[in-house]
Amino acid sequence: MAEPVIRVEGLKWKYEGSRDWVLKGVDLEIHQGEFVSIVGPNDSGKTTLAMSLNGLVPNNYPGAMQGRVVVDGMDTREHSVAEIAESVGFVFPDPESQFLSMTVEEEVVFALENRGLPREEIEERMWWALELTNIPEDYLEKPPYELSGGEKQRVAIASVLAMRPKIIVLDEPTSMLDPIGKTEVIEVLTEMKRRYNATVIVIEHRLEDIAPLADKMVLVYHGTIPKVAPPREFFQDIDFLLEHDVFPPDVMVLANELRKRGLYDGPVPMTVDEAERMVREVLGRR
Amino acid sequence: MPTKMRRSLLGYLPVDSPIFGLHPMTRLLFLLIVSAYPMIVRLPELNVAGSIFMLALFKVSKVDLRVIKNYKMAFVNLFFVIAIAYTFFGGYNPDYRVLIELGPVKVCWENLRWAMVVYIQLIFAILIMIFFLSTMRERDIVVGLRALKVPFVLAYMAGLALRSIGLSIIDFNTIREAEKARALDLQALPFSEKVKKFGMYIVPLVALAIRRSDEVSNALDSRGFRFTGLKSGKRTDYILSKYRMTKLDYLVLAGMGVFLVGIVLVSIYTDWLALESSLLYRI
Repeated sequence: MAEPVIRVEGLKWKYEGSRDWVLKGVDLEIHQGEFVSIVGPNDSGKTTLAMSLNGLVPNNYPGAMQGRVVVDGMDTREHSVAEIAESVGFVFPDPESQFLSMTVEEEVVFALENRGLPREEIEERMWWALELTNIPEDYLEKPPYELSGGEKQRVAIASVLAMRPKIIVLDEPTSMLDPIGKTEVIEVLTEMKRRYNATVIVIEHRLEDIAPLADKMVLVYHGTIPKVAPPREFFQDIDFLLEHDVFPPDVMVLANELRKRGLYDGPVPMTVDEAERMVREVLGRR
Repeated sequence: MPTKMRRSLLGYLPVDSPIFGLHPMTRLLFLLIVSAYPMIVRLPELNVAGSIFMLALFKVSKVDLRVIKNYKMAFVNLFFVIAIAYTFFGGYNPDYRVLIELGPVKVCWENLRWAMVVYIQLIFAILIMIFFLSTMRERDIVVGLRALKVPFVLAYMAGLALRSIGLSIIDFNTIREAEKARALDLQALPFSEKVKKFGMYIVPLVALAIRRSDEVSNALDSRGFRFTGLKSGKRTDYILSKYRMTKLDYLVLAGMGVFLVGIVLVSIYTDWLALESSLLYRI
């Protein structure tokens, strides 16, 4: 099997002033092109794990670190965040906190200007990223602060996509958005999965939307990773997930109940369509 | 069809405003050059003419004149501060004409005249600044500074500083609303209580400002920004490359420059701009 693009080995991290380790010896391998969803309850260490993938931890936060994180061949302790940014794009939960410019156009090209790319290439990448994230041309002159929540996060994603990083980490990209904004961002993630062959790592609570997209699900719980598996296998043991404060989509809970009662023994449904087939199958048997 | 607007530092401006026909560097130099006029010229008539010219520029540039109305209380307060400073603390000379005596304080025409001269100068200067802020965006300032070969770090810092004022105002309003929702309304309190309780606003505001600067720093790093001091390194000026200086820019710059040199020379070599030429000094 090919060398993983991200290798986390025995990662332990403790913020300065904190008594407890936030991450307690985490091991994880992610391969090029994988769409990975990281799930887990609040304060389990998901964001710290995400920030360790682009070097914000340990470079920008004081604390103690053990183990190592190698991203695209770069040990995060030996490379700056700016160097790692050549390979890893990072989308923060609060879209406003990551805006660096006062127009959408400047925002999308900011990282490309930093890299010193030729103007023609900057222009080409900007249009590509805007098209992929469905941002209309007349938004270019608008301040990103004045857009709706979903539009703001789409601009933030476009700004990262324009960098064409090998790896994109999205830390709860829908957590601060209204339902329409959440749907817009999930649509962009779907497009990214379909058209852009990067490694995408998403921390997301909307399991029903993210599970069908994911190649691999990672459960983070109290600073550990008790389960890594493809989605169908991940959701096979619903009781295990509930014990770890992860609440699977209703269709999966239903499948679990039907299975417990001996009414269904097929695969876990990942979408509403699959759930409909499951229900028809169960009703057909009765 | 509604007019398309473009956000400026102080409000909104129609996209078809003629001011956008000028290069951001020209508009930036407008502030630097034209605001030197009221500093050099004290003659009230010329400063009044300058203020009228600025109002005409507001109109031509399609700036909503209501933006000036927002500052009417500031204009009034400014007048009182200057008038009080000059009439009460402007000194006394036996040659001065006393208008009123308020106890030991003599309100003299000469001091009042100085107050008016300074006030008219300031009005002209403030109108220039309001015009600048009403027609410029952060992007224009960064582009203008970059066109003047100011290092990117300094240009970006200037833009960021201007934006942080706006963000702090938004944060302040959010905190105020939150405090109101928790039954703390400073407006309803007497002055002494306002001062005492002001910390309730300032502490979260400072905490938010620190958090915002931390977030901006993380975002800058995550977008591959490397601090290279005053050297711009290999950075591409993509946004700057979208602007071109036109004949109109050179014409405006030449006009402003010639006028500046003109008033400097006239004020040095003639007494046409001396205060003694003013109508105020003939009263």
